[in-house]
Amino acid sequence: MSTTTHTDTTTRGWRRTGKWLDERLGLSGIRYAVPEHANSLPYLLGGITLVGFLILIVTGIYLAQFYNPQPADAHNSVVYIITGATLGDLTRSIHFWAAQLVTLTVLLHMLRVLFTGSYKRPREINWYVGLGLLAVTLGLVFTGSVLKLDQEAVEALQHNSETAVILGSFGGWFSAEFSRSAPLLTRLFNGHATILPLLFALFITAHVYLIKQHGISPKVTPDAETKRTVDSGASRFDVHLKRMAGYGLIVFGVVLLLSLLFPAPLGQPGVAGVELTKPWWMFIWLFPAEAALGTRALIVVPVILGGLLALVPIVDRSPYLSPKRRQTLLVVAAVVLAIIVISGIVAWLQPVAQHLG
Amino acid sequence: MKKTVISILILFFVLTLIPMSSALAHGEPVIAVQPVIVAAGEEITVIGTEMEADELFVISLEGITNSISLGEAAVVADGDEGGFEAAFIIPADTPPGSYTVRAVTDEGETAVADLTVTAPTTKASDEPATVQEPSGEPHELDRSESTGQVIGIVIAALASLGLGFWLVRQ
Repeated sequence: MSTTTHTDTTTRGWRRTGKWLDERLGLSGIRYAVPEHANSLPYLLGGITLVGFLILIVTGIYLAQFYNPQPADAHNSVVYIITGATLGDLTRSIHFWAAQLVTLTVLLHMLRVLFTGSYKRPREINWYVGLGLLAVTLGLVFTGSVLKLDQEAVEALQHNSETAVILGSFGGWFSAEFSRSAPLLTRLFNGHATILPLLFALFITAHVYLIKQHGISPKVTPDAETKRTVDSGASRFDVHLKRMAGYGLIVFGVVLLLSLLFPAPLGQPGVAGVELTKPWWMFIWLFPAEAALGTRALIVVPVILGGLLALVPIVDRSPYLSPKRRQTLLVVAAVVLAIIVISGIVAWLQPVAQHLG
Repeated sequence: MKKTVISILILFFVLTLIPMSSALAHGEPVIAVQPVIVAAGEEITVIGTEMEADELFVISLEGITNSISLGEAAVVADGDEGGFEAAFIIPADTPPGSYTVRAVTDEGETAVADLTVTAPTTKASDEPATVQEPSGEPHELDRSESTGQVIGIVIAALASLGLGFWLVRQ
């Protein structure tokens, strides 16, 4: 009897708090209708990525308290993070593994959008915003990977500098000459911790705003056509958010276990002028192209790929979403993807090669 | 009209990929550095040739992560062309590694030479210089976690996974 009374009192307390908050924050506004398929895993990849970015922001802020971006001290400060800072090794490993998973989910999200035709009218601009987010993500991965200034990082920086020379006047910021008062590494840290997160915030705001404007793309059926789905569907956005949070927590749990079992790697202090390591999986597929075309491939290949991705909403303007009605585009995309994957496998199997001039 | 705009854009893009260069009235300036391997804190001599008389070159040491200004060198006339010979101290806190010594004028004329900087040593001139051996191997560190920390991480991971699955299945 007394237990029931206590439960009733607690429930009433929660309801009162909820009502108080709703009155002030308008939380019930998020219970708008969304299509049921929006709650499936493929359509939640973007949301999972967002949760991953939140993990990266929190752990990144903590790591920045101990990292020293001066070239002479950078590597030692990473060693201190691992061996001296409270929970530093764990935090760095969470940051590392979250970055790996976020890159993976970003790419899977993009492939899902490509496969389901979610870039079609009226969502073309959001496709380009998404490409911007992809570029920012890869920029964050690159700038983050060089900060530890181990051998792999120094080799990445050498590629960065050679690419800057090829880029001519556009490569200025990426060269050591750009500033005589701030070393390149310090500026790349600045890019990693301020410029790119700011760009990410701008792009993700635009991305979410445009999804809210158009609604999630319709479910793919043989005859489905692209259209707005705002405020329509059998589910609700708060259910969608719960699912997103659920998958986000699963990702966090996996990241924690990976961090415990496989702590983020750190190589020996880097020495310039040699190539002894291979880049991370996000960039390793460029290895064969670089071996064939030189450092110029590091610009030419991504520009061509970016150009192809930018052309997608322009060349595929039919209203149909079904993959069967978009076979040409998807076959081309599959071939390009296969080339990238095979290049990555070849590069992974090949011995380390000297590319730098 | 569209074609013209596209052509201009393509031309503009291609031009940005071409490293800038300029025509010179004299030959390309050249510098040499002695010695080519030096310990941080020691002195190098930069010798410039095939330069225009009275030009002023700013000399810098450029590594992969930083750029250190060493000083300036004025060209002394020698017949039609000129050159310089100037000594500079490599700062003692310069990290070991491969560097480029760069000489550049206000007009952008540039000459470069390679230099390897080794760890500082008080007897750099008496003993053979040593360069830090590059290695792709992992940095060996004590990364063992306490039992309590391992248990805490596992509990946090399981709680996160459990709550996550519960929310997804709701």
